Amino acid sequence: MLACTGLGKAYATERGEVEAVRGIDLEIAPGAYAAIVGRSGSGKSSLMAMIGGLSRPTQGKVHVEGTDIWALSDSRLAAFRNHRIGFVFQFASLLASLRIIDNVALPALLGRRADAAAAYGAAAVLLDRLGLADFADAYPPEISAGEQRRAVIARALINEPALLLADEPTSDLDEQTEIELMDQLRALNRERGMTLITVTHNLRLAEQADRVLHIADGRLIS
Amino acid sequence: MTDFDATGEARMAVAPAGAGIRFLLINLALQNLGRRKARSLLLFAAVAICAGSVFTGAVLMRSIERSMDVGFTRLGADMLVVPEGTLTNITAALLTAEPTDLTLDAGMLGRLSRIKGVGQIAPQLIFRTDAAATGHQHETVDLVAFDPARDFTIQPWLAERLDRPLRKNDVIIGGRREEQVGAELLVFGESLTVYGKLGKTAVGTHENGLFMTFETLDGLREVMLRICGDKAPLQPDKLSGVLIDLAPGATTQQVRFAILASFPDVKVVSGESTLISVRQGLAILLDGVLALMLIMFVSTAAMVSVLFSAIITERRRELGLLKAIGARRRQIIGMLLIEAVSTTALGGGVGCLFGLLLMRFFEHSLVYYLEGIGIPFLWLGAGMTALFALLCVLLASLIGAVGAFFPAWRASRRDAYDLIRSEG
Repeated sequence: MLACTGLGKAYATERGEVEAVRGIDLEIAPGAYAAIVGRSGSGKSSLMAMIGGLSRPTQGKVHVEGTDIWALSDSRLAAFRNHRIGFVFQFASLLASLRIIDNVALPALLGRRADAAAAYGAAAVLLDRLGLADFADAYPPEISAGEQRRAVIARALINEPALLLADEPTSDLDEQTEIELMDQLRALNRERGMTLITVTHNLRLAEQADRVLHIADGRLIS
Repeated sequence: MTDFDATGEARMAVAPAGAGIRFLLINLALQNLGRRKARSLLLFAAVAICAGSVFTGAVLMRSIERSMDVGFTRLGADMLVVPEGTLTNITAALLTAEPTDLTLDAGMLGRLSRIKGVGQIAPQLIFRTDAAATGHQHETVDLVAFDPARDFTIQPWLAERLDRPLRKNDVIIGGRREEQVGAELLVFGESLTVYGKLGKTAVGTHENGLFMTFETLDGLREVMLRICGDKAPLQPDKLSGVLIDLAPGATTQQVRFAILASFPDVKVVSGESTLISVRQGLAILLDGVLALMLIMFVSTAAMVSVLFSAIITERRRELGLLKAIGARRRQIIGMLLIEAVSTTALGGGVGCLFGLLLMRFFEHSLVYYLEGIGIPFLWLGAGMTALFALLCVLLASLIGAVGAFFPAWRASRRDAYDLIRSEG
């Protein structure tokens, strides 16, 4: 499903080049749930960004479903992200000026995979599945942080991705909401056979994963 | 579900959702403007001021040009070339040649028009008769033949006229004559139609004369020869004088010497030098206004660009997010351009409206001032004004598009993750 070879990322800073990720080799099977853990600044999010086609590696390759994603042109990579990869970020990533249902339908509309009616229909089904049917017409600031995060998950699932990447998805949520949200992600991973990779500080949450990847100083240590 | 081949190309045929995404992106762009009211208003105001100034400047400039075309030509030619020996009645306005039995050869026109500094030339032939040319005993009448295509001192004075072009057997009458426009007038027994009537100019020949084309006068020639005898002005290809408008930058002294050098048997009469200077100075001023408007356009586009760079810097996370969920570069650029163009186009429209109100507000004082210095102020027609307004709105849209394109293009090139994590 996912294969990284010799993956590395260096950032140019005022103090010189900083290597955030150093030569990571990694393979994850289809439908697996993997958790990436490590301290702040260890390179977890940079690794996730390269896997998700959001940040171009300075070295190495990323294959998702056999596609060398960083060999794709800019527009093809955008289409690939749209169709095959879902993202849940660590910040409230809904567009505040659009309704919840618009936010959820947005990737389907951007990808032009279906007409608008079908996209909104699929968005309504997902909102219902995640317990947000009553908030479809609400705007993001009108709902709680946990509800917003569930709306983000609905958005990530709208195009039925093969890979769902969640970068510290529960970092600003209370413990109860955090547990509920991770349970929902885990259930979706099982139901849909979708590969799930999360980045987390929380070792207790990471233990629920099929596989835990420890990163330190940009290297995969276990 | 969509499948991808080894190059990542989607294999599934997809149904279009273009209308839906266009609506959402437009909605997003417009909502962003609403969310940042102060900056949107600043941008809007800057473009409104620019577009309003360009619109007002353009309409006023064009109106002044029209007024000058009529007003300055009404003030007469810059120079008059007549046969040597002609007694000239110097007036402030050189509107017609002098009635005299002396004549110029029409063959001189080609050479005269090629003299450096000569702009327009308008040949005239004047025949004064004290015979009963128009049926009134003891009436002295000046018959003035002119070339309508070259004329710039008679037709601008038309106060009323028939709603059709001037043609053979039409006559234009001076402002003090009593005939009505459209009436038939017997001249040497020939029936001519009064095509138009001039305004009052206080120049005798101009106020009392009968003006007609050379072709019309030719038609009267036989009967005139019979009644008045074989006088020089009635010979073919003769002129009484040539009115001259100087080219921009030319001086009366230079042109006078050049004409006298080429035609020793003529006399050159100059018009009011102040008026010549004013006319040439105004032409330069109008060019300056045009240059100023261009500078304003470029500086406003630069300001929009700077403002949009700041707007985009603030919204990097939103743009990164859109890229992450699959927005293509052209969609990101398109959304930002919609945002910019809608603000600047609206600003342009409001600027034009404001400019129009401003012009109407100052209309009385402006018109009064110009008419005070002898220039009848002629506003542009409603159609042309609307066209100018439309062009200004398009210009404002262009300012938005040009100003926002580079920052939008630059942002669209960045990695989604860079945009997301560099939120300020």
